[in-house]
Parts: sequence; structure tokens; C-alpha cells
Amino acid sequence: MNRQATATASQNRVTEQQQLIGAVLDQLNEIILGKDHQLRLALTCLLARGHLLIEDLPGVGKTTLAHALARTLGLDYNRIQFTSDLLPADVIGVSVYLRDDNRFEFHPGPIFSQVVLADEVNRATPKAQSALLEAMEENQVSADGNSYPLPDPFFVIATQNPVTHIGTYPLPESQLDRFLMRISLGFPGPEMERRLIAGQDRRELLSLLEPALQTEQLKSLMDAVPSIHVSDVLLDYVQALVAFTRESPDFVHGLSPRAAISIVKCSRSWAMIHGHPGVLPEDVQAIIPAVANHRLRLRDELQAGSEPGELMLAAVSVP
Amino acid sequence: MTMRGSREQRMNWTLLGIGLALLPHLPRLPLWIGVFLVTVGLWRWQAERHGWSLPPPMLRFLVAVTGFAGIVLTYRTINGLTAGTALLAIMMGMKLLETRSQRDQVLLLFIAYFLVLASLLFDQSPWTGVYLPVSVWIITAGLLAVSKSGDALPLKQNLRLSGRMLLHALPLMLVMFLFFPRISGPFWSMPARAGAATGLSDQMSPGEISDLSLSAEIAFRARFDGALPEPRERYWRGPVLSAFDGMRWSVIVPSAQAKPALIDFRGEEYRYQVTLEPHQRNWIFALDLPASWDRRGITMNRDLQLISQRPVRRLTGYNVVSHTEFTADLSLPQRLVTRNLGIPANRNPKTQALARQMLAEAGHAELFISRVLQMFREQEFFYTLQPPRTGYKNSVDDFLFTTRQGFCGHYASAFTLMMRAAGIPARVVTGYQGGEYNRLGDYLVVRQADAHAWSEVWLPGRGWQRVDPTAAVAPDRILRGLAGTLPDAMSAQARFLRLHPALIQMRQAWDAMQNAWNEWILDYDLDRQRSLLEKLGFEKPDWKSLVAVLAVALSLALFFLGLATARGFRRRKMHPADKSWRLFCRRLAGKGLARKSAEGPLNFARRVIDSRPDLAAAVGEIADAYIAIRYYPNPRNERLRLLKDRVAAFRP
Repeated sequence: MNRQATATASQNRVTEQQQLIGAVLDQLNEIILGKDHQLRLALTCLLARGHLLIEDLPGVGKTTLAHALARTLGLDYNRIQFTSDLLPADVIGVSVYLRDDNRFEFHPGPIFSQVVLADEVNRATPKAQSALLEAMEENQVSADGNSYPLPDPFFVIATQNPVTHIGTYPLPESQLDRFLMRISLGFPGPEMERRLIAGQDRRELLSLLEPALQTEQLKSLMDAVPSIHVSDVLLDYVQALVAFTRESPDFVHGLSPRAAISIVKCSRSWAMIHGHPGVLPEDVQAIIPAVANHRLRLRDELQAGSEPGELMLAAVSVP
Repeated sequence: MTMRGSREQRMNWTLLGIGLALLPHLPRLPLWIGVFLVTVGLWRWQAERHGWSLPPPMLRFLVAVTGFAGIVLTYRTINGLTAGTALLAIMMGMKLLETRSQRDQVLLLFIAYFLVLASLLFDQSPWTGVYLPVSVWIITAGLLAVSKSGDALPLKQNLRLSGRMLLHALPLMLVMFLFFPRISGPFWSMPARAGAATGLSDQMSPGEISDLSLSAEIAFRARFDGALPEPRERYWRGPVLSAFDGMRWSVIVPSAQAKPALIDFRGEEYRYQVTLEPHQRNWIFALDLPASWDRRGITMNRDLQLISQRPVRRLTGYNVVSHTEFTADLSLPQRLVTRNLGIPANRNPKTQALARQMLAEAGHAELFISRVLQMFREQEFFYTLQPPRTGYKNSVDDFLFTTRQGFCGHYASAFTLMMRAAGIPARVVTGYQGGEYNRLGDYLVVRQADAHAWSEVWLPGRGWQRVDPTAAVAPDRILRGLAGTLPDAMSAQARFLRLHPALIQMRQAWDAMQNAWNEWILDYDLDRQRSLLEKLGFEKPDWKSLVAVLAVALSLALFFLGLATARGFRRRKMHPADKSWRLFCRRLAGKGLARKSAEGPLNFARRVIDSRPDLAAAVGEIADAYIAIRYYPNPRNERLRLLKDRVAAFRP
């Protein structure tokens, strides 16, 4: 009897979560056309309390996506344009000397915001990059011996031009690992592109957006992610996937245990978005490319067209 | 670990491996090679630690030429077992002087395996049987350490891995040992060592046997099927000496065409198995007198002695049936009568005169024989290991009338001469008398110290009769063995071993082990292989059946080995839901809708429903139930029942 009641209660909660998430996704889809999968991935990443790296050509809507996410989730938003002369102080803030009081006062930089868009992060020098990445890692900023906590939730969306572009400082592998996911948007399909061209200006639409969630609702969604069930069979599957990257000769090095934890974290979040009370192999498969691709390097760079994530999924059978 | 550290570690493994392989060879090699090898090894060890540079090519060339010349000068050849091994050992040392890369070290360790094998050609004792596997184990660990790039495994792990590899090879080794054809031939068999003949020789001068009696070396072991013969019956027949030159008795090789002796065996028969240590001569020892034996190439000569076609150069086992009571040569051909009466006329005149006088007094042969024995028993004759020297020309006269102290050889010699002088055909028989019973192994050990000489006289109507004059002087020698008679005869070491019952037991335990090793490992030859095959049901085993059994046994061994190895990869027990799910997938696969291995249940169900909308309800139900059981929290038992029922009823 009791069990029945619990089941019903959890059923209700799932329905409520589904409604909230459905509203968020609907609204995002209005702004970013034809990119439903990428939007779900971005939301998955955010709900899993991870940071997102978007790698794509200029002009495909990276900034718009970041802005739309912040507005829809009701979070405040700051944008830092990374340039080659950006200094760490430009990111985290600066201590200013107050002559009247004869003391220094910390003026928080643009990083003190719930959603931070770090635009073209690979155009800044490594010094400025690490200022951002350190803040991401520590969830706080240290200046003059004081530490200043960053807001909660704190979500960094970094965009980066493909490394082949001129004038970039590619992020080292160890720093890429700080991003839970890396996605790319790609060009929209022909029909969507026509709608995009014919339709209203995206920036105007953005300014009209109303938040679809209260901050409390967002936090409760985030808190629900770790409670999504992960069965033994699924753990076997994830372990087999990770083991494959270590044993296969195709990869320069395998995935780390931290990457494995990230896979499970994202799978839970994805499962929650899709209303699964437990993580399914399909949930893992959906997020693997976004979680694994930037953490793996193929030994044979010329294996054109094949991404590490696809290789993993094709090689490891579902239990 | 640093680069330098792991390099040093690899070199240490290499040095350890070749050191272990060389160790058993060192005592056999000339001193200068041993010194060279140890010096080079120590130098290389230090050179690796301190980063010294290796000697220049010119110096290495000089050392190589010198070493080669040294081998040629020492052995006068570079062929053959000993010279070949020495050359290999010294070249190995040379290789150390130019070893830089991992490849060189791997090569050195391969040579180490070869040297380990080579030491078997010299020594096949149980110690070797223990030492060699251990050194192979460590060399294999060294090979693992050397061939691995980067840091080696920790020592313990390395040894464990190498041990496991050897254990995996064990079944194959057993199969090969049991069934690999033992082809006899100079190339296939173990090279026989040219060595000094040990044990009894083909001639005897008084005093020679007493040298043997100090040797604790084992002559052979005999395992009896039933009861052991009494100590006084334990005469092991060896060379029969018929020619006498006044001092020395020697063998007259009987002609091969001679008709065999007619023998009438009586009384109890003894069945036993002898494992004869190599002694480089053709003699085969058996309890006096053997009636039948099982080994081909063994014949009985006219003197009733067993002879092997080839010298006994390796451990040889054979089964014999003997009777201690027998009548042989009731009628003796004139030729043999003459031969066994022959004495040099002008030697030992006093003995000859004494014999003739005693015969005249006694009247007939049998009384004469017992009178002579009585003389040995009652007059002042002494049994001793250190008899005074006797002259060459009249040695028996010297013994009988002057020294009166002697060993078995003296008494047998004097007795036989007296018989011949009295016209009774007689001869000296050498062999072994006695043997120590090993309680643990249930067999008799006969040592060189048990070497003995006695007489045989031929009497008309009775044939050859054994007479042991030593028994008259020292009955204890026959009943209790040499050690019981002359405690001084033993070396200090042997005396020490006899001091304490526990020590005796230890010695016997060790010998029992040695015997088991001999019987089961070293003496496992074509004959034993054949009898094993007969036990396995082959009626007339030949090499074809041997090859067939080898092939089948090898395949079986490999199969089980593979099975054991694969067990590590096998899945654990399947979940009941998985069983139903597999069945469901198989049924769909039969309809051309096979699940891809990387396809999850949800995607699969969707794909099936897309192409077969008619199955939507059933497939949806089954997939939902399966997902809920395997992936969702708190699965309920009804789900499993539902899944099983639905899958059982599912007929796409």
C-alpha cells in the first residue's frame, strides 16, 4: 500500500518535471530552429551542473543559444568576448584602491553571473583562459587573499572556433576536460534556414523572452538528476565503453575515470529530461558523442568522418 | 622510475638469468673460463650502474679471438658436448661486453634457456630436476622484464606471471614426456658421456676390490615383487674370471658360438626389477642365477653372466626372474675343463704342493673342499681391508704362508688356485654381495662397497657350485655386510650417517626419492612407452599409434588449457529477463529484424514497430517490461512473469 503511494507520488513528480522541461524546450526551439537534439544536450549539461563548450563556425547561433538558455531559465547573463589582449582581471575582476578609506575594494568582473558566455575562448592567451577555467573548477574567485563565491547555479558556455582558424590558442586537453560536454550546432536544414531568414530578428525575439522556470524550480530539477536510477547492467555497459577506449588501438589514450563519471552524470540528466526513471542504454548513446569526443584523440587523424564517440558505440554491444 | 633505473633493472634481470643458467656448468668448465665469466658479469653489472662505456670494438675482437683460441687449446676441438658448451658459455660472456639494446638482452636470455637444456646433457639427478625448472622460471621472468617497454612489472607480479606461463605449459610437457616417440639412435638419444668405467673391472688382482669397498657410490637398485632373498643368498653375478697368471685373474671372453649352458632351475623364483647405474661396461648384474629377463640386447654368455650388447652408458632398467637354487653344466666340455684348470706351472709352488697334499689326505674332492675352508676358518687368517702387499710372482704363496691377512679377493684367489692345483675345475666370480634394504622405497640398494669375489668349483654330477671362502673367514661379511664386519672400512662421512637412526632414515628417504626419479623419469623409454600404450588398449603399439596418441593428447591438453583460459572471459550467469529478451530477439531475427549488437532495447522496439506496426502492442509491452526490470528502480516480480509469458506467446 505504502509502496503504491510512493510510486504514485514519484509518478506525479516525474509528470511535473516533464511539464517544466517541455516548456523550456518548446521556448528554446522557437529561437533556435531545427536544433532540437543540440538544445536537449545543452539543457542536459546544465542540469548536470556541468559547463558547455560549443565549437563551431562563427554565425551559426552559438551566442544566441547561450543567451536564450539564460533567459528561458530565468538566470542573469554576462558575456565576455575573449580577445588576444584580454587580461585575467578582465574576467574575474579587479581590486581598486579607495583613497578615502585607504583600502582596496574588489570590483567583481563579468564572471560573477549565473550564466557566463565566454565567446571565442580560444582567441585569448592561455593566461586569460586559465583565469576562467580556474574559476570554473573552484566555483569561486580568489583575489588579494580573499575568496569570492560565484553565484549558484553557475554555468559557463564557452564557444570556440575550430582550431584550424588563424589566431587561436587551442585549449589543452587537460582544460578541455573541465567542460562536461562539447557540442557543435552546424548549419540548419534548408527549410529551417528559410524560416530563419524570413522570420523576425533573433535578438529582438530574445529580448521578448519570458523565463519558463523559477530559479527554485531549476534547482529542484538539478537536484533530481543524481537520484535517477542506474542499474548494474547499465554500469557494465558504461564500463565496457570506457574499457574499449583504453584497449582499442584506435585511440591515443583511453577515457579517464573522471570521464566515466561524467558519462553517468550526463546520462542521468538526459534520462530525466526524457522521463526515464532509470538510465537506458539509449540515454548513454545519446550523450556519448558530446561527452567523449573532446576527451579522446584518434591515433590515425586521417580516419575521416569517424568520431571517437561513434566508434565506441558501434564497437561495444549493449548487454 | 627513471630511464636509467629501468635500464639497470633490465640488465640485472639479464645477468641473473644467464648466471642461473651458467651456474651448473661452472664446475665442469676449466677454471679460466669460470674466472672470465664471473669477471665479465661483475664488470657489466657495475658498468650499467655507473654508466661506464663498453670496450671498443678492437678490444672486443681481441678478447673473442683469445677466448676461441683458449677453447681450442684446452679441448683440442670445438666439437662435442663439453667443448661446445664451453664455447657457448664463453661467447655468452663476450656478448655481455657488447650488449646495449633490449634485443641483445632477449638474445642472451634465449641462450640462457639453451644452456639450461645443455646442463641436462651432463647431469640428470633429481637436484637438476628441481634446479632447472626454478631457473627456467626466473629466466622467463627476466625475459618478461627485458622485453617490456618502459618500467618492468614489480618483482612479485613478474614472477607470478612467469610462473603462470610455465604452469600453462605443464600439461603440454607431460603429454610430450609420455608420448613423444623415444626413437633410439645416435642423434635422438642422449649423448653418452665418455667417462671412466666405474665398478668392477674385467680382471682382479688381490686388493683391487678393497679399493672399491671404500666407495659409497650406488651400483644398482633392485625392487622385488615378493619376499627378498636371504642375505646369504644375495650374490649378484658379475664378470667371471677364468684366466690366472700367478697373481691376476682375468676374463676370457667366451666365444659367441659356444652352445649355451644347460641349466636346471629349482626352488623359489625371485622376480625383481633392477635399475642399473651407468658404468660404461657391458655387464648386467642379476641375482645368481637369472632364468629370464625382459630387455632386448641382453644375452647370457657361456660363463652364465648377463651381457648387454652395448656398454651401459645411461641408467638402464630391466626385469629379471632368478632362482637361487640351480644346477648348471652337469657335463662340462673338455675345452672348459682345461681352461678352468689352467695355472702357471712355476708360480706359487708352495700353494700347489699344499693343495695336492691336502687332496691326498682327504681322499675325495668334497672333503678336500671342506678341509680347505676349515683351514681358512680355524687357522690364523684375518679379514682386513688393508692387507700387506704380496709379491707379484708368488702372490698366493705370500698370502697363504706369510701375511695371512686378506680381503675377499685374496681368499677367492687362493681358494680357486688350490682347487685347480688339486685338479678340480674352478674359477673366480666377481660381483656384488648383499645390499641395503630401503624401507621407504621397498628396494635393495647395492653399492660399490658391496663388491665381492667368490669361487665356483665344478664337480662331476653336481655341476658348478658356488663356494665363498670369505664366508669361512668372516661370516659376518655375508650376513651383515661389510659395514657390520669392518667399521673402519667406511669413510668418516658414511660413519657419521650411520650414527643416528634419524640420519639413516633421511639418507634412505633421499635415496628412495632418487630411485623414484630414476624409475619414473630417467628410465622412461620406448619399452615403458609401449607398455603404457598397451594399457591404453593398443594391441600392437607402433610409432603410428604413438603419434596418434600424441596428437590426440596434445589437442586435448590444448583444448582444456584454452577452456581454462577462456573461463576468465566468460559472462556471469544470465539474468532470467535477459534469457527472455534474447529469445524475443531471436524470434524477431528469424523474421529479418535482428537486433544490432549496439542497439538498445528502446531503439530496437521502435524500429520493429516502425516496420511491423501490427506487432506494436506485443513488442511495446515486452520492451517496457524488459526495460523496467533491467534498468528501472524497484522492479517487481509481476514484471518478470509478464515478460516471460508475453515472450513465450510472441509469434511474429
